[in-house]
Amino acid sequence: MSAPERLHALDAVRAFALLLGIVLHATMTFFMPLHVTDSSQSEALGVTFFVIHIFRMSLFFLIAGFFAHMLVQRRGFKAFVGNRAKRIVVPMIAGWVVFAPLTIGAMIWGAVKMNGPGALDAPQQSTGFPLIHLWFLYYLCLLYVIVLGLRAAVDAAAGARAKTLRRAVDGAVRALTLAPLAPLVLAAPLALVLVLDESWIPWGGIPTPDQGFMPRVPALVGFGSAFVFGWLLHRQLDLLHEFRRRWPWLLTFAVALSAACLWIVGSPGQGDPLMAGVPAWVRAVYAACYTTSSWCWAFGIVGAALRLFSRPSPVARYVADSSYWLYLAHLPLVFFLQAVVADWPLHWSVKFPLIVTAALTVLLASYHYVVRPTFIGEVLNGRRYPRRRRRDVPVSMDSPRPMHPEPPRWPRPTLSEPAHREPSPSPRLVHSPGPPQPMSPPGEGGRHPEHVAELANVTMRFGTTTALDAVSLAVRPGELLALLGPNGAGKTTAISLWLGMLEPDEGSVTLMGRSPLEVANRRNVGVMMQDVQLAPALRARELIELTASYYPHPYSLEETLALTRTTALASKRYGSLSGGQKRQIQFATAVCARPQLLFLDEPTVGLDVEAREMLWRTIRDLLSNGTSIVLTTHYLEEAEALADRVAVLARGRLVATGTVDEMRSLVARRRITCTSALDVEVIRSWPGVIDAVRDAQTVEITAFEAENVVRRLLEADASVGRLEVRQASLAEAFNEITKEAA
Amino acid sequence: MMSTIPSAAAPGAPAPFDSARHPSSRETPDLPAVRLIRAYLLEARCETLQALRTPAAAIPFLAIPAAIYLLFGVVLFTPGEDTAAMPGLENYIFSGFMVIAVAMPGLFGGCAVAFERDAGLLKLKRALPMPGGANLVAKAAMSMMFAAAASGSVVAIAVAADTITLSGAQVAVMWGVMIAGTVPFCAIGLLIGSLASASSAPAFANLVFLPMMWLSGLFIPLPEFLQPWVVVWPAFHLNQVALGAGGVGDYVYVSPQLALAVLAGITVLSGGLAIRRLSRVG
Repeated sequence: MSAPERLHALDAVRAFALLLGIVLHATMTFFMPLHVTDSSQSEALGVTFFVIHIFRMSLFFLIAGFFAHMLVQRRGFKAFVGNRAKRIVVPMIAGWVVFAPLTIGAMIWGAVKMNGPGALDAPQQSTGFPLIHLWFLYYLCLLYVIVLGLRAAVDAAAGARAKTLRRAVDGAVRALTLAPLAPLVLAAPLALVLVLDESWIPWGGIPTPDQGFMPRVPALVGFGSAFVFGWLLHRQLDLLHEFRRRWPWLLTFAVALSAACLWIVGSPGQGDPLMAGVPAWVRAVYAACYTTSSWCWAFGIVGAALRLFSRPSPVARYVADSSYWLYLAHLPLVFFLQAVVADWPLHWSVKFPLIVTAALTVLLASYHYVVRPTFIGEVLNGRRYPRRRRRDVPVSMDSPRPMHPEPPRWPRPTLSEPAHREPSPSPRLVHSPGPPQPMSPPGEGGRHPEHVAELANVTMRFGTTTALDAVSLAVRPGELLALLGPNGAGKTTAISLWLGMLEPDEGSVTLMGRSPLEVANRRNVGVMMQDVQLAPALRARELIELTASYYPHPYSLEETLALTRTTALASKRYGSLSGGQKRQIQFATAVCARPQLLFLDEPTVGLDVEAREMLWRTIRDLLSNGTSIVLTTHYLEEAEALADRVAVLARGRLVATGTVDEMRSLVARRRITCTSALDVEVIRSWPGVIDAVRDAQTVEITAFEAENVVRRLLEADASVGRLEVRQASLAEAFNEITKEAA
Repeated sequence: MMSTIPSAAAPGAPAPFDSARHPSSRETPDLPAVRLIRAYLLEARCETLQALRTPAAAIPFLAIPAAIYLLFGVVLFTPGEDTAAMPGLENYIFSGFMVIAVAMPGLFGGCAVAFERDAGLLKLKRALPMPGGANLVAKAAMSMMFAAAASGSVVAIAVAADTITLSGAQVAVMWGVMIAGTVPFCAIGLLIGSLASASSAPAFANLVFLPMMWLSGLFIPLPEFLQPWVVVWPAFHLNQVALGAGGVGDYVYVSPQLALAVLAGITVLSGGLAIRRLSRVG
């Protein structure tokens, strides 16, 4: 366990304690007279309240003490005071000003709704300033002052022996934590205080100090002991492991002790919450069970969280961040909803979940839109989250599935952006030794009005993967641009951008000078994608007609079939076609658009030689009629056979563009193979030789100036045989380029 | 039709670029209204054809509601005994089975979107300039057609067996409500289909449908502790709308307007979430 892991879990525990408060308050009208009394009373909800109330605030103060020590230790005393002033004192005061009138208003409205205006005339017994549920912030402040004051006093009094004293306290905490009876020992002070308090109402546990500023002893002792123990716990983080190990036992004991308490005091509405007539020893046993149960719950929940929720999760983080606001704001809303549903003739099992769901929905929405992105979020959680976040989730390259994509924001200001852009870094090949070779720069920055499609300095990231890195690439009218590159190079991402299925993180994407995000701007574009299965029950003809119906000027069915040479397949069901035939029909649905620009993503995968030849012929027909085509392929001979230009992508970067010939001569290297007895090390030292390798008798030499090398070879070794010199194929050029880029 | 087409070998029989038909300018090509409507209709037609051509999937929707109505509403229903305590029970049961008849094609038709997702088809349609939501509208239309047929068979059985005591107008109104009531179920189905994989979507749809069928109190009396819970099921609300609109007052527990509002809320919420997810993930 490393420290950051623990914090995720404890963040979750704090959020749990706060959210449980919403549930707790929602139960109240279903078993006790509050501002309203619900028409459907529930013992089950009374028990729920009882159990949650045993441990919730103690758990909260335990975590609060833990985090308080962490903050002091990490940032020092001064920063601690500033931080707490902003995150606790400000929300307490501002929260009271906003929520207290609303809460009291909701209560009055509910009371009047239930009992008529006369409800207000009943004598109100007030015992002090109404802190409402924000009392916990007040007690937090008190405890901060007490603990920091104690600390300072100890430091001043003990002087040099402070260190020894600290070590002694740590030792005691360690011994206590390791002891099986820790909860019982820790519970003793509070149990004692409660038993001695004549006015104590056993059913309610620690009396909620929500009225008046005068600190109440039971609350101070109960929550204070939790806070201090949490504070000391942070001094020895490895002790958390103990809870992590023992949590099933702790929770078992917690449940058992809670049940015992309930058995002694009786369930709501049955027993006597005051336990007036029972002997004092029963009260003492009850108090011991109750307070011990509280610690068992707290330790058990912390342990379970460490065991189960240590992994960071965006959802847990969001909930943890939102819980503070949710808790601050929930009370008026919950009271209001309780008043609304109180007289509905529905069962509590419907009404109670309804209240909780409705309250959480409203609160979460208010958090998401009003708190998280504003100064309120900054005050409560220490940071503000911008509302529009870039999608930053890991996704696979070929099937981008952003989890939180933004809604489309268009029309994008593509035309108003600066016309010229820095070209992307030139490929490393250009810097390689050898004579300069003709080749167009890979960056095609700068917007050309005549380009049918353009990526201008586009960067696209999926989480930590950069699928495209500052790529600039344009499709000129009437050309076939082949996108080459290994799997994961970014070919499909480029096409997805052009088809408006993705928005770039940086840079701009245009189709005919417009944003591809708008459906209308794609009505000149035909598409054939990878890994698509069309509806198997439909006939080829129906599929073509359906796709054609999306376009304003499609080819007729007959024209499409003739053009793509698929007439024989027209009446067959798609599901009954072979793999290659399916690709042909997908091709036909792409062509039927009468596109100005056609995207073909690996169109000939799975086609037999004959079908591929037919498809190539159709592609040439389309090209001769002015259609521009972007084609991705693994098959180099396909690019050699069809492409006007080739663009090579490797790991998201555009490493080279040029005509097929340029690409081939780009790697002007020739391969010389022969049988020779010469040492390859000697050959390597000759000028113009890039590499030489030996495979048994055969030597393979890669060289720029093949003629000179051959001359020298023959001079050096008269026995050279089976001499062969050839130009690199596109396949080899391609491998060279991507290898060097890698 | 086929004979007029040039042979498959003919290269480039038509002229691919006809400048008169294809504006080479950079104007955004508009889809004329007629073609737009045609696109929606074709989508619906394809959707229906697919369903009809896989009868194994379509028949249960049509047969099951009629069959169980025949069993519970006609064969096992003994008017004298059953209606003595609850007059008009036969009409309530009739209405309940119509709800089942429309909920099934709605839910399962909607969740079929999961198959399209798995097939990559939705991704393709996102790339194509398909008119907005044409495939979802088509799904809803197809579901409504099946729902009309399935609930129509319940009506036919009820009329033929003379089990109900409703006027023709009442039956017509209720039937109309039912057909329109397919939409919320379709929206729930879409939501399931947009979240679940193709193999699990029908299972999830069943997980919604089967409890809903029994726990909405449509045709069997519920134990008392379950009665308040009927309000969570859309089937209950559709039944209430239909009974209210048809004027079967004895069995109206919730005001039809409120029930209608609940259904509208379910439709907007589920449909909205589904569309949101489909348009992003595809």
